Amino acid sequence: MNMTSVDLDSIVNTYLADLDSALGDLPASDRRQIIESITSHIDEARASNGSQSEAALREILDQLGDPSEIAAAAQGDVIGEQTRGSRRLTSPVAWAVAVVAVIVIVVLSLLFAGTFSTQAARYGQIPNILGATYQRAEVEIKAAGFKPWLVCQPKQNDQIPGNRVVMLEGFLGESYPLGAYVNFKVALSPTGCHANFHTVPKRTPIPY
Amino acid sequence: MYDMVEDRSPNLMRQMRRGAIEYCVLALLCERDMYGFELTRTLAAADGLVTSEGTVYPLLTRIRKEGLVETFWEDSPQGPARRYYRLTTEGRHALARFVDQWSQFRDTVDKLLQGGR
Repeated sequence: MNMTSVDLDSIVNTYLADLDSALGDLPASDRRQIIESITSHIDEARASNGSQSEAALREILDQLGDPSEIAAAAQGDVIGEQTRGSRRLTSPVAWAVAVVAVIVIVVLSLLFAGTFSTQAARYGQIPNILGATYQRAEVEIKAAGFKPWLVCQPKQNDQIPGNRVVMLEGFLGESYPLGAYVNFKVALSPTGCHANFHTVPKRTPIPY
Repeated sequence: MYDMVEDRSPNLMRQMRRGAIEYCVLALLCERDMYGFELTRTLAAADGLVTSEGTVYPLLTRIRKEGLVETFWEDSPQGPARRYYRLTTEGRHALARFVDQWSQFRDTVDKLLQGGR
């Protein structure tokens, strides 16, 4: 049986009403945002699907999941948020204990820093960022304890993948001093290499 | 013999997903700003990451409240305006910390699993 767009809309409205009811315990602003996001999702999915059949719509709703499942995920997130929030210090005694603990830690750190200042520099391994986007490469290099130095290279032809790291200075798997610069090249269109990018490698490279 | 052992993999997968999915969202947004539908479809296409697309939206609401992402509206070529999600500086730092911790954790587990063979 063919359904009219009014019938299809009523299926969506029933789903959203069930969801709203399942989300009942959440703060109103969270509930509003989730309902609004799910409504947009259904609209986008219906538009991209192109089909106005009941089966296609039910498939979209099945992929979204049962309202109770979404509500359970939302409540899990709220519980997690409250647990994290409850770790905040509220009583004056807790604040005093925390301040004393911080002072003790700082004093001990200064003492140990003086004692072990001659210790060898720490080393780390350069992450494999070849083929990654330069935004991802920067995050990974920083996370590994190095400083990223991005050199932009205009693309010579379409065989070179755009916006991807095509060259990395250093040997993967070898250890290098943390805090050193890691030079890496990314290929962009000639106009893509704008003033924010470097054009030459950093001249304090990692010692080999 | 295997029939006598309880299969704990569904629960294990749920726990692993729960811990990692937030950072997968941050990693996707590290590449570029994305709108909700696009984000959930990308996550759903990654095998085993999302069981129901709808469960991503509560997560997005939470990480927005925590300041890891921010949102803005942009007109869509078809249909109503879209709410886009963008990684904040705090989100970028959280992702960098996770990438570091994840690499160490993965290497440790891999080492133990390979040694246990």
